[in-house]
Amino acid sequence: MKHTRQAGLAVVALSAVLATALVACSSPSPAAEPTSQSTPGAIDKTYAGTTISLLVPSWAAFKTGILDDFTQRTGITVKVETVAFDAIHDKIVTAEASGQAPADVIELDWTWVSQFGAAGWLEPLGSYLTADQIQGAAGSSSFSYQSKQIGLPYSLDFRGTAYNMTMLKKAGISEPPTTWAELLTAAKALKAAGVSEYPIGLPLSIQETTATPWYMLIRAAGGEVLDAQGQPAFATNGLGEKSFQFLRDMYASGVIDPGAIGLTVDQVNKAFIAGTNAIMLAAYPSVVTNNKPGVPDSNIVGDELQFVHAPGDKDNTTGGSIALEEALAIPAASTHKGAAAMYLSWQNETAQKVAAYNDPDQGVLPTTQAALKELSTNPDNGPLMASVLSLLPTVVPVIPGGPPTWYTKFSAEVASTLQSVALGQVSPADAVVALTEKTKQIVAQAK
Amino acid sequence: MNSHSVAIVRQGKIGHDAGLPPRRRGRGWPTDRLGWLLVAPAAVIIGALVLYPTVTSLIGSLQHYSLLNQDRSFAGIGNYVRVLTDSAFRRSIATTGIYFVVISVGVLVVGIGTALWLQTLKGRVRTLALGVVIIPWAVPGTVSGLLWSFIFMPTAGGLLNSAMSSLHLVDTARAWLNMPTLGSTLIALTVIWGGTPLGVVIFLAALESIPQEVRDQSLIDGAGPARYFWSISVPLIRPAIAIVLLNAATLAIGLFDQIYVLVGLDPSKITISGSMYLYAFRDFNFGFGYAAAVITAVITTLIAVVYLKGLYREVEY
Repeated sequence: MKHTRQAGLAVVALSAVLATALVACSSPSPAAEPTSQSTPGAIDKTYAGTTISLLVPSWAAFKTGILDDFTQRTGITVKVETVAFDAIHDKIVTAEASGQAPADVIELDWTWVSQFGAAGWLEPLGSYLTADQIQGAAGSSSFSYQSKQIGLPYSLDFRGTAYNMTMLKKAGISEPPTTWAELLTAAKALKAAGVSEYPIGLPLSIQETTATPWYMLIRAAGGEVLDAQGQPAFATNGLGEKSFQFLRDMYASGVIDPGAIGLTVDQVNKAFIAGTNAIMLAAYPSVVTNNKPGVPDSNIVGDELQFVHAPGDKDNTTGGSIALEEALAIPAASTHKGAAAMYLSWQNETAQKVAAYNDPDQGVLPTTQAALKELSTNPDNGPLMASVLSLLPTVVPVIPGGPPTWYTKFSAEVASTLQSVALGQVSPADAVVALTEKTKQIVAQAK
Repeated sequence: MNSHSVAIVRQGKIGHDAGLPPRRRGRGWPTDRLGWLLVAPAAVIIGALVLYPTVTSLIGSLQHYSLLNQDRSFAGIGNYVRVLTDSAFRRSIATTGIYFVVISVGVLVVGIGTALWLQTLKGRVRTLALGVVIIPWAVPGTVSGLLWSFIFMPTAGGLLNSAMSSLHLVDTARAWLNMPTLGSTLIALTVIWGGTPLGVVIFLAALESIPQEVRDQSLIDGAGPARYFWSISVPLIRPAIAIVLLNAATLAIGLFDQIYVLVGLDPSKITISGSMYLYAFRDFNFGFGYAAAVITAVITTLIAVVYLKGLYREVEY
C-alpha cells in the first residue's frame, strides 16, 4: 500500500500543477501599456503597437476600411467582437465577476449604468477625454455615476411615434393624432377602412423593450415613472393607471395584434416597415432615419413617413420623450485604458459619426451636434432628419438621476404587468396597486 | 411463455450461466501507479470543472455576495431562506415540475417508440433513418429556439397559425406560447424534439443487446409483441430507461436557452435555472444565485438517486 500512497501523492501533486496551469492559461497577462499618458482627447502615436479589443453590438462596429484610419493615425490595432445586444451584458458580468476585463472598450447601455457603476467596473473618463467631448455628447449625463463620467454616448436613441401617412390618408386621416383618444379613434378608422387589420404596432412580450412604450406614454403625458428617489411616481400622478387603461383599450378594441404579447420590438419594427402596421407607437429614430434610398427594406420613405412627438393624454401635452442612449466605456480592469480612450476620442469625431450613420449596417444617429448638423444639411437625409432633430430638445432621461441598481428588476415587473393589463387579466387600477407594492418590495430587497 | 421463464426475466438474469461466478459490481480502487496516472487527467478535469465550482458555490451560498458591494460576510442559511421564500423562485420550481413531467414522458415514449420502429428497419434504410432521427440532437438550444419561434410566431404569418388557419381550426392568430399551460407544454415539446435522439440511440442499443435467443424463447412460449415488449424488453432495458429519464430530468431542470429565445424571461415560463440567471446576472446577487444553484443540485441529485435506485438494474445475459 506504500506505493499506492506515494502514487496518490504524486497524482495530487500532478493535479495541483495541472490545475495551476489551467488557471494560468485562463488568465493571460497582457502586455502592459506604455506608462506615458497622452493628452486628454488627443489622437496620436503614444500607444502605437498596442492592440485593443472591442465588445460591442453590430451597430457600433465600424467596417475595417474605416478602422484603418484609426490604426494609421495611432498605430493601434483594433480587434472587434460583435455580440448580440442581450448577450453583451452577460459577457461583461461573467468576465468582471472573475476580475477580468471583458474587452478594452465595451458597450454600456443606460440601464446598466448604476449596476456597473456600483460594482466599480468602469474607468472614470474624466482624465482621458476633454470636457467638451463629454459634455458635447447628447445624453452624457445618463452615463454619470456618482459624479463620475463612466461612459461616452455614441448612439442617440429616444422614442417618438412613427406614422405611415399613406395608410392614414387612405382612412381619411390627414394629420398625425396628438392625443391618446385621437390615436385610438384613428386606429379604429384604419381598421374599419380595411387599411390595416392591426394598425398599431406595439410589442407586449415580457422584455425590457416592452416597458419603454409605457415610460414614453407617461413622459409624453407630462409625468415621471419613478421620481429622483426611485419612488413610484406613476402611482401618485395618476398617469400609471391612465396609460394602463389606454393600452388595455387599444388591445381590447383589436387595433393591436393579439399576438403582440409574443412579439419583440424588432418584429414590430419589421411589421411597420413592411406596411403591416400604420402606426408604430414607440418607434426609435433609426426606424425613420434608416429609411433612405439604397437601404434594404426601406419601402416607406419621404413624405409617407412622419416621426413626431408621442401623443399625450390630453390636448397640448408636451411632456417630452425618453432618452435610451448607448455609450462606450472602458473597464477598470483593462490594461490598455489610454489606447481605449483614444479610440473613444476617434469614434467621436464627426467623420466617424457620419460614417456610422450612413453605413446601413450601423445606421446610428450621432450624439454630437457637429455630426447632427452635417447630416441635417445633407438633402439626401430629407425632412425626416429635421423632424428627428426637432424632437431632441424634449428628450429627457427615463428616470431623473439615472436608473437605480434595481432598475432591471423593476422593468421586468413593468413588462409583465403591461401584458397582464393588455390581456384583461388585471384592471388598470389593480395593476398600479400591485406594481407599486412590487416596486416597494424591490427597493426594500435592494437595501 | 411459461411461469418459469417469466420469473427469470423479472429477476433480470436472463441467460445467466450458473457455471460462472457473477460479475463484480465494482473493481475497487486501482492499486498500481499506472492506474493512478491513467486516472490523473480525468481527476484534474473533474476537480477543475466539477469539484471546484461545487465548493465555490457552497461557500458563496453562505455569504452575502453581491457584485454591487464588497461585503462577503457570512450569511449562514440566510440566502437559502430568502430564495426559498421568494415567490418567483417557488413559481419557477413549479414550472420546472411541469417541464420535468412533460419532457420525461415525451422523451421516454417517443424515444422507445422510435427505437422500436428503427429496429424493424434493415440495412441502409435503417442507417439513413437513424441519421435523420439524430439530427435534432446536433442543433444547439438557441438555434432550436429560433427554429421553433418561426413555428409558434404569434402572428398570422407564424407556421402553426398559418396551418391552423388553412384548416379552419382557428379564426385569428394565437399567441400559443403565452397560453398558461399550453405554452409551457409547447416549450417542452421543443426540448423533447432535441432531447429524444439521445434517448433513441440509448434505447436502440439496449434493445439490440437483447439476445435473439431470448426473443426466440419468448415466441416459443407464446408471447405476442405486446407481451414481449412489456415482460421482456422493458425489464431488460431498465438501465437505459433510468439513464434516459435522468437525462430528461437534467434537460428540464437546466432548461434555459429555448425559453429565453421563445418567450424571453417570462416569469411564468422560466425554470429554476432561469431563476439562478436572474439572481446572478440581473440582480447581481451571487449569494442568492449560488443558493439557488445548490438547491437545484440537491433536487437533481435526489432525482438521480430515485431513478438509479428504483430503475437501474444490472442486466446480464
